[in-house]
Parts: sequence; structure tokens; C-alpha cells
Amino acid sequence: MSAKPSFLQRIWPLLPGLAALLITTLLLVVMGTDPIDAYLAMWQGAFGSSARIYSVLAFLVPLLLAASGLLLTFKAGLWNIGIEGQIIMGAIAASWVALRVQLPAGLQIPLELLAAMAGGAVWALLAGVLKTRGGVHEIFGGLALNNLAILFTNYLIAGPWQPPEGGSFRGTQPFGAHALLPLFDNSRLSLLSLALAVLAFAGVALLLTNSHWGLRLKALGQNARSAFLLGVSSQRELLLAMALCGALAGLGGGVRVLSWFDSLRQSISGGIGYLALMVVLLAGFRLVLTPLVAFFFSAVLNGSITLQLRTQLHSALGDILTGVLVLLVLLFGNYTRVQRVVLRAAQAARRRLSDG
Amino acid sequence: MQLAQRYGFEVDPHERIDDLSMGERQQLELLRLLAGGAHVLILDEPTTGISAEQKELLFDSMRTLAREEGKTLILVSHKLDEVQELCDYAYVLRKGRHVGGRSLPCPNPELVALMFEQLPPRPARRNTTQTETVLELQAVSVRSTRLELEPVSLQVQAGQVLGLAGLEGSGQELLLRACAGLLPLAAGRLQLNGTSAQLHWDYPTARRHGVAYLAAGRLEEGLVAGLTLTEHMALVNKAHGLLVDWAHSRQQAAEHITTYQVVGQPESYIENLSGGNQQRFLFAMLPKDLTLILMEHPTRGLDIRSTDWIWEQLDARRSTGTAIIFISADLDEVAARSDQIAVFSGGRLVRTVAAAQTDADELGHLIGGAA
Amino acid sequence: MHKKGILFVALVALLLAACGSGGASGEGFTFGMILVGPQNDHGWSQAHYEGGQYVVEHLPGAEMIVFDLLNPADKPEATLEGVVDEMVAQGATLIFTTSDEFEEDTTTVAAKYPDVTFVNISGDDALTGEGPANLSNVMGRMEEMKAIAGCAAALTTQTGQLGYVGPLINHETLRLTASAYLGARHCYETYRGEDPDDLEFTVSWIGFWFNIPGVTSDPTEVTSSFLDTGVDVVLSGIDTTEAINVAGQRAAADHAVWAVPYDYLGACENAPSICLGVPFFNWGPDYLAVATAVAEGRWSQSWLWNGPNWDDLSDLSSTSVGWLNGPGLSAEAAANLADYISKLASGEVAVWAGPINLQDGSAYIAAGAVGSDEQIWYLPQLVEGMQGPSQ
Repeated sequence: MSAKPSFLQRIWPLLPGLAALLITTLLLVVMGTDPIDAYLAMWQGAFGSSARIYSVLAFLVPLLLAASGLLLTFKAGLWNIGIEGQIIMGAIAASWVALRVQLPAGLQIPLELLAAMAGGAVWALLAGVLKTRGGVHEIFGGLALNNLAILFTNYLIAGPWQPPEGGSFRGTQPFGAHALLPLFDNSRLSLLSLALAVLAFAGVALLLTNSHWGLRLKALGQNARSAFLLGVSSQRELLLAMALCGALAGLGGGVRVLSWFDSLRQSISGGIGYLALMVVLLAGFRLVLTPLVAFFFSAVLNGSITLQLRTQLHSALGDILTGVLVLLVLLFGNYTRVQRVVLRAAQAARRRLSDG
Repeated sequence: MQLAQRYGFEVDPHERIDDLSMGERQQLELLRLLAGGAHVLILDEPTTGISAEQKELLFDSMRTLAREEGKTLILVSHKLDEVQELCDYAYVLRKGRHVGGRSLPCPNPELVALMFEQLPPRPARRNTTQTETVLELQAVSVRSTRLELEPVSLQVQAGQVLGLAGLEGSGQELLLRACAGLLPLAAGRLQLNGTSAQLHWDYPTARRHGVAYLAAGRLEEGLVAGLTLTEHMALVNKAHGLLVDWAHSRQQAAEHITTYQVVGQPESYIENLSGGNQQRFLFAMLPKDLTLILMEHPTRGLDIRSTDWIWEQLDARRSTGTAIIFISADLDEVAARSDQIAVFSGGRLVRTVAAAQTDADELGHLIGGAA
Repeated sequence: MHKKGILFVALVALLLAACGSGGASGEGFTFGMILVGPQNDHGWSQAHYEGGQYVVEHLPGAEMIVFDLLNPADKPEATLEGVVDEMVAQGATLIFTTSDEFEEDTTTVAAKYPDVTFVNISGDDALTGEGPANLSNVMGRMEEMKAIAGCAAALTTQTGQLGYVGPLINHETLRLTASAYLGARHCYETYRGEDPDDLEFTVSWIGFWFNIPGVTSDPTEVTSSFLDTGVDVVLSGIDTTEAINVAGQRAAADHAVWAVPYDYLGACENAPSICLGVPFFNWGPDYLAVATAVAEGRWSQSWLWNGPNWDDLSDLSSTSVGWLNGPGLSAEAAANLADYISKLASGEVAVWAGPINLQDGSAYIAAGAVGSDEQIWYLPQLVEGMQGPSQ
């Protein structure tokens, strides 16, 4: 409660970033690579040409959708780890429409996207109901549902949806051109999906800052018991938050099959849900930071492809950079907490000294 | 265990901490400090949340410690009777300043004058005239994992105050929570305002029927730490449309702050308010027309002025026909504020007495099981 | 690590000695190598990686750009197209996409870069005509090597139970797994004098080419459960070495178990004493031929299904696939295996000699006939007598 933030306090949020950069740089030096070259390669890999930028944006779309959804569930105090499965179920639902339903041009894609949202929402509701009715913590329910979604994908790819020429285990047969999102300038980027992602984030931001529902979620997340006593229907709001998050994640999965790929593939998400969790954690659940961090993640991961090709270093470098960053922010990001820990350690040391 | 015997404490060393009552935990903590060789003991509101019997035991041990063993004890308390009973000298602090002191015992009004500049007059209680039954319990029993409340039948009239007395964990909490719809009835029926139909009685239903519940832990059950006063107002307002009218909620919060004399701003986070101001704000958030108010320890931890203010508010509500049921560990409060008193002991309603015909001493005996 | 190092030096020395001075010049020639798994997996991906290194050794001035772990589970942000874009930007004129996972995307990307030569491993788009003119396919004719592997297992087993850790189900894995079974069956009858119908041969598919936690079955667990249920020789059909690793641990605890790894010449190194041998891919010579042709501007489209050098199955300068006896193979079994190999080489014995029925009992190859390339390549299910799912 000090009145004026100290200098250290003011620059504190930057420190984990700098530390992560330092660790990565040291790693590069140890591996015998010029870090400047490496970071330059990453930069060019992310922003070096219009094709690169499109790729960063295309990967950003599902990431931002999932992260936006997670802002809702985190606000309600839920750890929606099942988001990975929700992305996958969205992809599966969109694939079902794309493979099995033939509609006029103007309806085909909207229906696919709606199906994707419904798929994700249903999967999220399952985790939600397991929690509210069955007392299963959403982390465990979510993990189980993630595995189920993966198994379901594998079954569909190897079984009913395998290409007519026989199963390669890789994916279903490509969807017809009419079922795919229109792509921008020969890239994997669908402008429609990007617009939807931006819109979704804006909607979530509005809900969280200015809606009655957002306020109820916040109250639930801070103190579910008090919120209940103040008349917030916890079950309904929690389920609604899960469903909305699942719908956004599912939309991300739909975008994945309808633009990034052209068919349902094994590992259709490949951990984008977990990546989105890291994004929101790194952003510290803050609205403004979330899209920025999501963009940063997409840029670093895309950049690390070029980094590996240029330097022939292990391509996990991008993962390492983002991973270290999240870890450091979680450990040290909260200035007051660190201050408390340091103070306590100092006191303990002093006591030990004085005790002789 | 030797130490425990010396002070007459009964703490089972094999019990898990979770299963000990507040009083037993306090005894354990005292033993721990004494075993560690403490010479100066500071006790901050030590009688909050413990039974009258445990309080006696605590005071005996404190006297022993001070008089026979030469330890220094510092008691922080707002309960003047305790201070008078136990202490040799009282220092009075007001708004962060040391404003004076008295050798004890001394007349209570002297201390109160020091504490509050002027002595708040205790309002005279009006007698209820209404006879309309608001709440009727017929052989209601309630079960928790640790206690089963034997069937209770009672009636509460409009404008009546029913005080529930008893040692902590004697069953009165179960009854209060059952009335609020927070615990299911194991048996019996509950009628509100003469509704004969057996309602599916849960908390949202109770709220819809004009029942309000204020728990003991204000920041645990009632207010949401991390939300501002304005946000609280917006939360309890009926939602019109999708978006919050922040200007309106802020203005409402500001009005309540003035009306209910809350020390705080609309932008203040609720956890930064003092306990008394939190309680005032909780009252501010109560809906206008209530049938029944249920309260656990409504004035626990509050100074005399806030306590009196709370009861003024309740009196005002009473006069419009709102019935009140409350639990308090402070028997004086129960005796002074209730019309009827239901005394609980060991999971049983042992007696219902008219407040006018009893006092704290008699209540204490009843609570101890002398039915 | 040390052992691996020695092996590597020995391998390079061998390659240098075998080849001498190549005539072609690869000055300014850059090629890309895209791997589905890690480049040091002691399996499928490492075999390709070393094939690429073989090119670098023998085509002076040639440069290789490697990208490994290109699969959506490890790198959801990467696409084949993106990697190829970058490789082309760095001057690659030849790109190897070394998995059937990449087949479809390679065809798409090859159309985008008509001036760059693409080689997809194990695909058939150049055979079927689906691929553009700058795309060719290369695959090693592994079927006989798998039969030899099966034979070595059948010659060694004491319980009469063999376990096959399979990756995922497609034409390639079906025909390779079936080949191993046919070789095992033949040798169990011919050299052990047992009734081949008594030989139990169980396939367990993990779901992908290598373990992806949470996505595939864990090959370590699959192998363990094989060994727990009476199987004493495990054969691997996946890209990585879990089967031999687990068998090695069991053998160290005095269990009589053996393993046959796959893909990579040095795979026996993981547990030499119980390794019966390894059927391996030797991509180097084929890759060198393609690279030289591209560098010299005389490349033309082809679908290559190259067999072994039957004169010497371990001649790394000439054979596309091979078999290398492992230290765990007994002298007697080695002698019988040599006999089987010589009969395969001379054509006296054919792996795919009829009668062969499919797993559902339907006749596939008639008595007296030998399966055609097409019949073998497009085998629709496992063959009769094998246990395990066909789809």
C-alpha cells in the first residue's frame, strides 16, 4: 500500500522478459551461435515477408480465440485445461459439416463455423457439468476429455472418415473447395477468421468490463460463496462461461481444419489450447495484454522455424524462450509477492544471525 | 499435557486441528506459546468466537498467569465488561491515537466517553404489536456431518426478534442456515408467511421470498474481496439489459455511503474497509422490503457505536414488520436485543424464553445444559 | 554417447573408403531434408538424415538444410509449405520430404515451385500420375528384409510367440508387417521343423510413427505387455527404438527375450546382446544419385522402389535396404538365416509365394503364384494367421 511505486516496482514487469532473453541468449552462445544472427533470423522468420506475416496471423487466429475464451473461464475462477479438447471437438464438428453436408455457397461456411462452436461448447459443457454435478475438478475432467477428443479424432481418421483410397493415418480426405474458408493471397490466412477472432476478443473484453454477466463471473471467481449469497447463480454462470469459452475454442478448431489444413488431421490442435493457457498466464489475465502476448507467441514460434533452418539449431528454441518467459513471470512477475518473500528470507537470516 | 492440566484446558492431543473448536484451538495456541517460554502474551480479541465456558477458563488461566506466575498480559478488546473483569489498567486508543487511560475497575461510561467523545444513547426497544406469523417451523431437524439437530418447532411473528443462544456448535447455526435454505431439512416443514404448500426450500427460493442472510464471516460469506463498492452495487442490482450502467451504480454506492455512514469511496475495494464499515455496507445492500433477516454474529468485532447503529437499522426494519433471527455469542446482546430467546445445547432446543424475563446469567446456565 | 560417436566415425570412414572420389561437383548446390521425427532417433528419421550426410560427403560443395520434427503435434505452427518456402529462399533446388505424412502437401508445394525438384519418400504420386513433373518418389524395397527379420525371430523364439510393434495402419505398414510374418512362418517350418500354424504372431499398432504422449499408445508399454504375455521376440515397425530398449532392460534382469529393431543401421547399439539384427534403410546411394542428377541438370521424374544388393546386404555404397546380423543371433540361427537369405537372393524362395489368404480368409495370392509388385504394394489387410487389427 505504499503511495508511490518505486523505480524497481515500476520496471518490474519488464524484468522477467529481460531475464528470459538473457537466458536464451546465453543458451545461443553456449551452442556456438551468434545471438544477433539468431534473433535476426527469428525476426525475419516472423516478419521478413508478407507471406511470413500472413503465417503469423493465421496461427494467431485459433490462439487468440482460445485465449479470449480462457479469459472468461479464468475470470470465473475455472482452470479450463480442457480447452485443447474443445478446439479438437470444434475441428471435428466443422469437419463433419464439411464432409457430410452440402449446402448453397452462402450457407456452407457459416454452418461449418456454427457447428465448430457448438462442438467446442458441448465438450466444454461436459467438463462443466462434471464439475457442477459430479464434483470432478475441471482440470481432471478437462484432461480426460482432451484425451477422449484425441482418441475420437484417431478413430474418425482411421475409420469412418478415412479417404476412399484407404487409410493413411494422417487425416481425412480433403474437403471440397466450397467447404474451405477463402484464403488470402496464397497463404493459410483466412481474413474472415481473423476478423472473427478480433471480434470475439472485443466481445469478451466488453463482456468482462461492462456487462452484468462479466461482473457476476468476476464475483464468482473472487469468492464463489459470497457471490452465491449475493444472488449469483453459480452453476448457471459457470456453465455459461465454459460453454462460451468452448464455443470460441471450437471456432479456433474449425478455422484450423478449414483454413490452416484442408481436412481433419491427427493432432489437429497440437497443443494450441495449452499454448493459449500460457498466453493468458503470461498476460496475467489482463485484457489488453492478451492479444499482444498471443501475437508475440505466434511470432516467436513462426520465427523459430526460420531460426532452425538458418542456424540448424534445435527448433525448440522458440518453445524454450516462451516457456522460460512464462515460468519467470509466474515466479517473479508479482512484485509485492517477491518483495514479501525477500523480506521474509532477510528476516529469517537476521534471526538466525542474532540467535548465534 | 501437564501444562494443559495446570490451566484446566481440555485439548485432545490426537485430534486433528480441523476438528477442534475455536476455543480449543486458542487453548492449544496458548499452550504452545507457554511451552516456548513466553513471558509477555498479547491477546487480540481472545473471546471472539469461543463459548462462555471456554471464556471463563481462559480468564482463569490468564489471572493465574499474571498473578501467580508473573507474566505480563496485554488484552486488546472492545468488550468493556471483559476489560473491567480482567485488567488492571486500560489504555484507550482512538483513530490511531492514545487518548488516555484508567485504572480498573472504573465506571464503564468513563471508558466509553474516552472511546467515543460522547456516549451513544442506547435506544429503547419497542415492543412488537403485530401478531402475524412470518415463519413457522414444525418439527424441523437438520443434519450436518458433525451434528444432528433434534426436531425444533417454533414461530416467529412479524417484527419480532428471535435470539438464538448456545455454545458454538450446539445446533443454532444449523437451524439458521436451514431457514436460509443453505442446508436441507432432514425432516419437518417450514412455512413462510403462511404459505401452506411445501416449497422446495433453497437459498434462491428464500431470497425470492424476502429472506436475507448475513453470515459471520463478512469477507468469506457476504462480500467479494477484489470488487469495489460500486461493483457490489451493480452486482446486486437487478440487471437491466446486457451492460452495466456504471454511472448509476456509482451514484447508488455514493448515496449508500452517505446514508449508512460508510467510511470509504465508491472506488474502494471492499476488503480495505474496516469490519464495521463492511457490515454497514452489507446492510446497505439489503433489499428494501424484507420478510425475514437471518444473522450470525451481527456485531462480532464491531465497536459500540457500529453495534448500536446496526441495531438501530434493525429496529427500523422491525417496525415495518420484518422479523429477525440472530445468533450471538455475546449473551448480553442476546438478552438485550431479543423478544424471544431460543437456547440450544448439544444439538437440542432446550428452552424458549421471553427476553424480558431473563438475563445473561440465567442464559449462561441454560446454555451449560441446566435445563 | 561415446559408442555412438565411434560408430559414426567408423561409418563415415567406411563411406569414404567405399566411394573414393566422386566425379560430380555440387558447388553451390543446396538441398533440403525434411524429417517427421527427430534427426537423432536411431530410427527412420536418422536414417534419412545420414542419407543426406552421405550426399554432403560425396558431392563436394553440396550443402544440406535440415528441418526435423515436422508434425502437428510437435510443431502446430509449422507447415510443410512454410518450411519449403524458407528452404527455397535459402537456395535449395532439391528437397526430400521423408515421410508418407508429407505426401499430399509435397504434391501441392511441388506445383508451387516447378523449378525445384521434390522427392517424397514412400509416396506413390509419381507412379499414379497425381504428382507434377518435378516430383519423384523413392522407397526402399524393405519387404524381403522384413521377412529376414521375421525369420531371425522365428529361429530364435522359445515360446513360439512373436510380437510386432506397429506404427499406424496403411498399405506400407500392412505389407511390411505381413512380410515379417511370412518370413517367420517359412523359417519356423523349414528350419525349426515346427507346424507354422503354431507360431503366434501378434501386431499392436500404436497409432503413429513414433510415440506422442497422449496421442499414441506408448510403445514402451506395448512392448512390456508383449513380454508380459509370453512373447519372447519383439519386432519393431515404428520409427524409434522403444522395443529394443525395453527388451534390453528385461534381458538385463535375466529374462530370455530378444528384439529386432528397424530402420537404422546402428539401432542394435541400444542393446547389442539381445539384438538379432536390423533391417535397415540406406538412403545414401539413392539420395546421392538423385542429388547428382539434379546438380548436373539431368534429373527426370521417377518412382523408385529400390531393392537390396543381394551380393552383400550390408554394402553401404550400393544397397538401398539391407540386413545386418546382430550379436544376439546364435551361430546356428545365423547359419540358417544365411541359407534363407541365399535362397531369397537366388529366387529359389519368394516371400510372397502363394497360397496366401488375407486375414478375413479371402484368397489373395493363388497357390503356385508369386505376388506382383502391385499386389504387394497395395496389400489391403494383414494375412491369414496374424493376430491384430487390419484397420
